[in-house]
This record gives sequence, C-alpha cells and structure tokens, in this order.
Amino acid sequence: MDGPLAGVRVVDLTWIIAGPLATRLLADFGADVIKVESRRRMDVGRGNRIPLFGVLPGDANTNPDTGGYFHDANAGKRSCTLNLASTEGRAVLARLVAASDVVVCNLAGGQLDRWGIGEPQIRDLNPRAIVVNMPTMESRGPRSDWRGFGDMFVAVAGLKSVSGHPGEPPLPWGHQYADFSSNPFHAAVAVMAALHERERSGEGQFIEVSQYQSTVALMGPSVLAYGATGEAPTPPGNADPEAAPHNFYPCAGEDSWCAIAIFTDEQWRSLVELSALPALAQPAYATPAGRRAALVAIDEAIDGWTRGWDRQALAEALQDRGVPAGPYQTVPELVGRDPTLGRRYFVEIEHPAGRTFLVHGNPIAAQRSPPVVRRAPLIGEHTFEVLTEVLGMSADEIAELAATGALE
Amino acid sequence: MGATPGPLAGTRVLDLVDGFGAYGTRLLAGLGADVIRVEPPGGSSQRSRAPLWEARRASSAGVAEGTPAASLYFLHYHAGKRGITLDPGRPAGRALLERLLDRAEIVIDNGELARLGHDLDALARKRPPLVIVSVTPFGLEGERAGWLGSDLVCQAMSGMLGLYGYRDERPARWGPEQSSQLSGLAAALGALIGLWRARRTGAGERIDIAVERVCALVTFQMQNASLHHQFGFTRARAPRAPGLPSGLYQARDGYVAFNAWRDPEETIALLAGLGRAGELSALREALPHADFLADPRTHAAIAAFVAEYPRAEFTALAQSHGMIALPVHDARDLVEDPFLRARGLFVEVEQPGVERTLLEIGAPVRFGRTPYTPGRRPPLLGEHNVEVYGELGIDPGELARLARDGAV
Repeated sequence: MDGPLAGVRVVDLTWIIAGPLATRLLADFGADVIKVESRRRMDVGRGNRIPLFGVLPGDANTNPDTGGYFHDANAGKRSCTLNLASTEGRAVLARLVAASDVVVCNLAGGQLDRWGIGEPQIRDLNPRAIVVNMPTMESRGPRSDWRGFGDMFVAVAGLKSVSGHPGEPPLPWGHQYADFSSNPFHAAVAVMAALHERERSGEGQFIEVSQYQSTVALMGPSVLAYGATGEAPTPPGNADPEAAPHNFYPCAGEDSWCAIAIFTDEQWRSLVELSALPALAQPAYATPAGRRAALVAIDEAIDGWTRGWDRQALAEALQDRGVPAGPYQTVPELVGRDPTLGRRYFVEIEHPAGRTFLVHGNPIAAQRSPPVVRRAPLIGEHTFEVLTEVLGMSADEIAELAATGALE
Repeated sequence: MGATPGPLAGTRVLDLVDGFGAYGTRLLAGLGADVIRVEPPGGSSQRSRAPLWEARRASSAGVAEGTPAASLYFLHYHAGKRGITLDPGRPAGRALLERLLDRAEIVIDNGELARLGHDLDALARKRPPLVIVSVTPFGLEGERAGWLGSDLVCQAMSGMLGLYGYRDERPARWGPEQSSQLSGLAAALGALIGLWRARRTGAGERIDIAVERVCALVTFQMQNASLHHQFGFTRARAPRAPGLPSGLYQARDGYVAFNAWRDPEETIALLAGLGRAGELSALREALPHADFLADPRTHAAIAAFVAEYPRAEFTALAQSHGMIALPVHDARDLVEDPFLRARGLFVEVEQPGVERTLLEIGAPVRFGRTPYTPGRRPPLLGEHNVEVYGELGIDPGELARLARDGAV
C-alpha cells in the first residue's frame, strides 16, 4: 500500500462510527488498517437500517456488505474475521497485535483483558504497540460500561448549552455530531503523536480517549467564560460579537435560507447597495455600534428583501461584492444539485454488486501525497490474505483454524 | 513544560493562524510541540476578540505594555505557545520569516503565505522539509477559492446545519466556532501525517484544508440514503411530544439525553423493575410497534418518569440498567462534575497582570506515558522575541535595530 503512512499497521477493533472513522482517517493515508470483526457479532454499522442502495425487495437489510454507515467509516481497510469467543481466535488476535504498530478499540477495560490484550498483556506481546481505547466515560472504574451516542456526547459535554436560539429548549441534532468531530480526530491525532514519540523512545503507550472528555474540548472559551463571570454562557443564537448583522435570512422556496455575515462597514455598504432598501440606507447604521443597536429592525428589513431571492443567486451576488454569504444546504443538495459540486465532498466507489455509491472524501487535501479513498471491505474479505501475509500462516494452518470456528 | 515531555516534544511549529483552525495549534502545543506564534508588531486582532473579560487588573501590577487584552478567545486558543512579532510586509521582516520557515517542520496559516506571494510548492520541496497546512473557508484552489467565509457561512454550506434544529425554522449556528474547531482538528492531523512522511522520506508537503469540506463530514453516510431512499435527510419536523424527536427529557434539574425511543422495550423493563411499567405496557399491548414508538402518550409516560429524578441520578439509574442516558450540561455543570474533576480535566491558568487564575479545559486525551500538558498561558506580545530570534543567531543588538526599523 502507498501513502505517507505506508508500513503503519493498525488492528482495528472499533465499532459503529467514532472509532472506525478514526482509523479510516489513517487508512486514507496508506496505513494498513485491519478490521478484526466477526460474523457472530457484527459491527452494527454493517447491519445498518440505511443500506447503500436502498431497501431492495426481499432484502431485510441483513446483507452485511451493503451497510451505509459501514462503507463510509471503514473505507480502505482490510477485514479479517476472528471469533474472539474462541481460544484459537484470541490467539490469532494476539499474534496480529504482536505484528502491529497500533491497536484501536472502543471497549470497556474488562473486555480487553478477556480478549487477552489488556494493558499488562499487551506490554508482554508488543511493547511498541500504541493502544487507544475510546470509552464513553472511562476504560476502568464504575463508569467503564456506560454507553452513549454522538448526539448525546454534545449534550453532556456542554455544546447544546451554547447553541441554538436564545431562551428556547436545546435543538435536536439529526445526526451523531461528536462521532465525526471531537472523537475520531482526537483519537487519530493521538495515534500520530504517539507514533512520532515512539520514533524517539522506541516505546508504545496506552491512550484513553474518553468521548465525554474529548468532546468538552470543543467548548472553546466557554469554560473560561464561566470562570470569569460566574455565569454559564447561554445560546447566542445567530448573533456574533464580531459581525452585525449576522444571521440566516429566508429565501424563495421551502426551507430555503442564506447566511450573511457583515464584519466590516464596507461589507455593510455593499449589502445596502445591492438591496437598494431605503430602510437600510441610514447613516446611523454606518458603524457596527449603530447596526448592533438596531439589529432587530435591520434583520426584519433584510428578511423582507431576501424572500424574493434564490439563495444561491443571492449568495453569489453578495460574494461578488465582497460580502461573506452562503446558501444553507442540505445533504441531498450536496449530493445532487450539481454533480461537479458533489465531487467536492464525495468520492464515487464501485461496489462488487456492480453498482456505485458515494463515500465522503477526506478533507485533509495533501497535494503531494494525497489521501486515497477506497472501498470498505466485504466481511472477511481479507482473512486469508491477512493470515498469510501478516502472520505467515500456511493454507493448511488456516484450514485447520477455520475448522475450529475461530475464523467466523 | 512539565517534567515529562509531551509526545511531540522537539517538534517545531510556526503558527500564522489568525482565526480558522487555531484549535489545531493549541492542540499541538498541548501535545508538547514548540509552537511559535507570529504576530504583527501591533499585535493580532485576536488579542481583543470576544468573549472579553472585564477583569480588574491587579492594582500593583503596573501592567506592562503589550499585556494581552483579557480576551478569553485569545487565552484559550493560544495557550502554551511562544510568541514573536514580525512584519512580513517589510523586507527585513520577510527575511526573518523565511529564516523561521527554514527552521520549522510545520507551518499552519490561513492562507497568509500564499497572500504574501510565497511559492507554496517550492516551499514544500525545500530541504529540510516543511509541512505547510493552510486552513481557509473554501480552500486555496477551486471554484470557490475566492469566496469569503465565516463560521456561519461554512456551517451553512457544508450541509451540517441541514441536520440541526427543526424544519422550516430559521437555522441556528451550532456551537462556539465549530467550523474552526473541526478544521483545527483536521489541520493538526494533517500536519502530523505530513510530518511523518517528511521525517521518513525528507519530502515536504502542502495541505489545503477547506473549512466547509471538513464540516461536511458531519453529514457522514447520509449521501447514499438521499440518492437511493425515498426520504432525504433534512431537519426534523417540529416536536410532537416530549423527547420526540430530540431525545431530550426534562429531569428535575435540567434535561437528560435519553434514547428510550430507540428501544422502549428496555424502558419498559426498567420501569417494570421499579413497579411502574403499567401505562407503557398497556400502550405497547394496544398499538402496533411503529405506532407505539411514535405515539405521544408513549413519550409522555417516559417523560413523566424522567421528571421525577435529578439528571445525575436518572443517568446512573438508566446506565446501570444497560440503557443509554447522559445529562445535558452547561459550562458550570462541567466544572462542577465530580467525574471530570476526579479526572483532573480542569486546570488553573494565569493571565498576566490579572488578580486571579481562571479554570480552563485541560487534556482532551490521556496519554499513559507522555502526558498532554495544558495550562500554560498564551504569550505576551513579542514575549519570546529575544529567545526565538536568539535561536536564529540574531543577537540583541541586531534585534534592537530590526525593532527600530519596524520589522519586529
């Protein structure tokens, strides 16, 4: 495999999204990520409710090779099936860990011990291994078996308290925000930092990414603000301390909006000129203080004006005049409105079933050694390959193992 | 720096960031890298960026000229860095910048190097190698490279806000500077992957991070669903019942995020254990499963149950029964959470010339052997000029001359 991380081998025991995405970010750059999984207890992402090609007639979503979540979060990995409930399966896992640089999992600490790859065991197996666990709360201790989802981590970590419309209950997320942000990225950054450190020290180490703790880091200066004032910050709505006006404005069509952010007096003048609204062309509004004092009236006037605009056309007209603006977009629009634009976000991948699907591109656009997004593995697709290539096993040995049920 | 160096000790980072992605250089500094922040001689505008702290200055402090304004934004995002001043608009300043670039392993900016006319590809080919990471709203290249972005605009266009809040309501900005936080995470990861290649092959790298593309990751997996399913993923319909669709239920002292609706069977079992399952069981008997899940009475019964408990108590009860619940916190709750306190997440930071320290977020990730080192205050303006320029071989006499010329 090519890429900047070629030669870095990762044993991936993670499930669902946050963990798998962490290792996928590395796989895109050429790390050999071996997803260890089992047909007996599949990653729920494989049996997802939202399969890649829609719910087909007679398909009860039991096909492990068309799970929607799975294909985004596991692109570019190899799949090796091991039944870790069996002694033989755990023995193979131990050998894989011994032959790898990194192990990533999102498990309670006790589970790692039972699988024979707890902290003291790994020290013996492979003192150079970098082991990352991503528990909800903690790897060991009374909360080690607590569970959570990405949309709950943003709630517990405080982000909902500083988001949304002032004075209203927190707004719902339709998706698992922390699974695509704080948790996979902190885990991948930690792996890279530990790999760099190992070049100096020759030693691996254990890393814990508590998903609660890691997501608190997205609070920015909010904790400082609490300490400074004694009051927890509340949702600011769309108001911004640096820009006024600064909001979403309604455009023509259903649920159609345009974001406009006025940071400078010059940008304000451009907006006034384009709108040609007398209500906005007041000398009192020429300064940020003046605009801030009349924000409600200004927002109402802009609301009335933008309703006649197509949001894309409005954003372009404002951008042409040097005003930061952008259309509110939804996923179907990212995908479908403009095929060229779609390629900005997605990579088209061929599925062995003969159809294509879209995977999120890796936004870390390295120019000389770019990320390469490849298909996620079918279940067990690389079991034979991994056992022969990585562990040097013979076909006979593998057949013997398979007969014990260790490779299910 | 503490007694045990962080995993990135000895890594030389030049920080030209003035907005998007500042979390990335904060993170690298916390991981032990030597991050040198370059500011114009008059100071970065970030030193006065909101939220501001109207703290009383220590009466006897005789606050030195150049003491940072009490910007909590600055205090947070530039913690742990060294600071120098430099005017790249002057030939002598530009020469200094080139010497700094020559010595750095990583430079992260918001497109400043390109704006100053540096040939980034030539920089990426130089020896010793340099990893150049630029973080801009829409990338340095491509059809939207010239567009002006902001946190609001990037969130809007990325598709992420298409999943947050209620349909047909004015969209709300998500979180404090989340597009900046996410792109900072991506910048840190890209920098460390590029550095891995640079140290092994001697080849530099240029990474072009578009903030809006990083935010688009939050629409993970939704793309194929919108192509192949009858439903596209957009924001939720307005609330139909307590907890539906937000998953948030009012407890005695605030909200809890509780995914009872994902599996009401477990809720019924929990309630049965407490002798309280009557109403829910009756509804389940009376209604087909899908209707039972969607019926407001189901959620009203759950809500009535949750309302009897304080958040922490309900969370512990649910988790101990294998159900998934987490409390909704604000900044005060975080600081007061015994779990986070016991983990030592919060640290005291000083602000020069100000009477008291403030509590701040510490390590997002726990390293077993080479700890993350939070808590160092950001640099005063030009605080490390003598030290850093001294490392370049510039003696104090020459530095004084450069200062007179306005280069530093």
